Amino acid sequence: MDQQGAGGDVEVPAGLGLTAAEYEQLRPTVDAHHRYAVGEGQCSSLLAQRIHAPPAAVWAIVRRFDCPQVYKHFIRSCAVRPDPDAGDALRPGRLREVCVISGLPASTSTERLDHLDDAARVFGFSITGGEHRLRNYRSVTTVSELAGPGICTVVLESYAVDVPDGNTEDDTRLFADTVIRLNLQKLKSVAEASTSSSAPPPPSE
Amino acid sequence: MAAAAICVEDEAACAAAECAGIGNLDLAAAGAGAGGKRSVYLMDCAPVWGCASTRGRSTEMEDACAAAPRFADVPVRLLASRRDLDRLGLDADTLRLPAHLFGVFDGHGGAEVASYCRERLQVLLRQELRLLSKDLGETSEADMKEHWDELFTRCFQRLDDEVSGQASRLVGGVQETRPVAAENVGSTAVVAVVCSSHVVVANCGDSRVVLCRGKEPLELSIDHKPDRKDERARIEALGGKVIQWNGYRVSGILAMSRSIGMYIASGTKSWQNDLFPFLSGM
Repeated sequence: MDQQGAGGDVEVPAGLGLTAAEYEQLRPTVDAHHRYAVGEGQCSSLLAQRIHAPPAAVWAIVRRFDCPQVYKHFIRSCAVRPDPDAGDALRPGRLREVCVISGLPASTSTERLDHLDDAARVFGFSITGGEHRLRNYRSVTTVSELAGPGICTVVLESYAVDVPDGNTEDDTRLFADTVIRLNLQKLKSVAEASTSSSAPPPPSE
Repeated sequence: MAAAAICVEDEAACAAAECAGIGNLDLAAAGAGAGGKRSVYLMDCAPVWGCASTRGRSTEMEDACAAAPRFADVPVRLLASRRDLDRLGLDADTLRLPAHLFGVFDGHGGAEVASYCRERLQVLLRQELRLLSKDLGETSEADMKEHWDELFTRCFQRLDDEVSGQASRLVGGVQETRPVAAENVGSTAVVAVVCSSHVVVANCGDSRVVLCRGKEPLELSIDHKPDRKDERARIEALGGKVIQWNGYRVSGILAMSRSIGMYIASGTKSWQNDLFPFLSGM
C-alpha cells in the first residue's frame, strides 16, 4: 500500500482517480480500514468508485453478504450457510458459498463475513475455500460521503492476497483489480438507478 | 446451359460424396460427357449429419449447435471463377448451389447467447446470400474470399449488435432493443457452409471445425486464443493485457480473445471472423 507522505504531504495513490482534496477527506478511513501488513509473496491494492447516490442507498447494497450478485458480476448463485445460533442475522463468522458462472478461472468460493459495521459503513470478508487461485484473500469495503457540492459517495475497496505460484504481483493485481473495478462500476449503476427511480431509501441505519 | 449428353452418375463417387457431405471429384474430370461424370458444381448431395453433445465438466449445458440442410443457395460465382465455369460449360450468372449450414455455439456465463445464435445466424446468412447475388461482377479468387469475409463479418456483427441491444430484433412481431442476456454472458460461434464443391468456415472464439477425410483430421478453423500472437498484439494495442491464469486469459478472466456477447471481460466489442475456405479438388 501507499506510504504516508512525510510532513503530512498529500500523496494520492496512483490510479485511484481521486483528487488530493478528496483523498485527504478519506484518509482517516483509509488509515483505519484499508491498510495491510503485506508479507513476501503477497500483494494488496485499493480501488475507489464515485457514486452519485446517497451513502445510505449504496451501503444498503454493499452490506448484503447474503446477496452479492446484486452488484457483483460473475456470480451464478450464492447461499449463506445456515447457522442455528445466528438465525437470519448477518454477523461476523457467517459463511457463504458462491458459485461462479462458466468460462472463468474459478468455479466456487467459500467466503466468511469478517466485519459488518452499519454505523461506520465498513464491510469486510475473506475467502476461506473454494476452487480458484486467490489464497488468503481478505477484503474491506467502505462507503464514505464526500463533503462538497452535490451528492457524492465514494466506495473504497481494498484487499490483500497471496501471489500464486507462476504469477507476478502485477498479474495478481491485474486479475483482482479487474474483477473489483467491474463490480464497483456495476454498484454505481445499480445504486444510481435505484436512487433515480425515487425508491424510498431502504432502512439500513 | 447445363452439361449436355451423358449424365451417368459415378456410383462410387456419389456414395463417397454422400458420406463426406461434400463433393470430392477431380475438377479436371468434370465436364460434358467426360467419362460420363457430373460436374462437382452440379452434384446435389444432402449431407448425412448427426449431433452429439455433452456438458463435460460444466454443471449446466450451455452449448448449442445448428444443422440446417438446404438452408440457402449460394451463387456459383462465389465459388469459382467465370473462366473456369465457362470452360465447364456452366452458366456462371444463374447457377446456384444448394448450401447446408452447420454451427457450434459454446456459451459462457449462460446459455442465452448460444441459443440465440443457433436460431438467428442462419436467418442472417440466408438474407446476406440472397442480397449478394446482385453484387457479383468479375470475381477473382481473392475477390471471392473478400465477398465471403464481408458476408460473414456483416452477419457476425449484426448478431453481436442484436445480442448487446445495439440493434433491434423482432420478438413475437415486436421490435426489441433490450439485450439478449447480461453483459457477462457470451458465446463462441463457428459455422461451416457446405456445398457440393466447397466448405466455407467462419469462426469467432475458440470452438473448432475439424474435417475428417478417411483417417486424416484437418483443422479448418483457427482458435481465437488470447496468446495467439496476432490476437495478443491486437488486445494490447487496445490497452488490454493477457496473463496466464488457468490458461492465458484477457485480464486473467476470459479464455478466448473474441466472442459474441461477453462485453464486460473482453473490454472491446470489436471482432473479426476468420474465413477459412477449403476448396475441394484444388
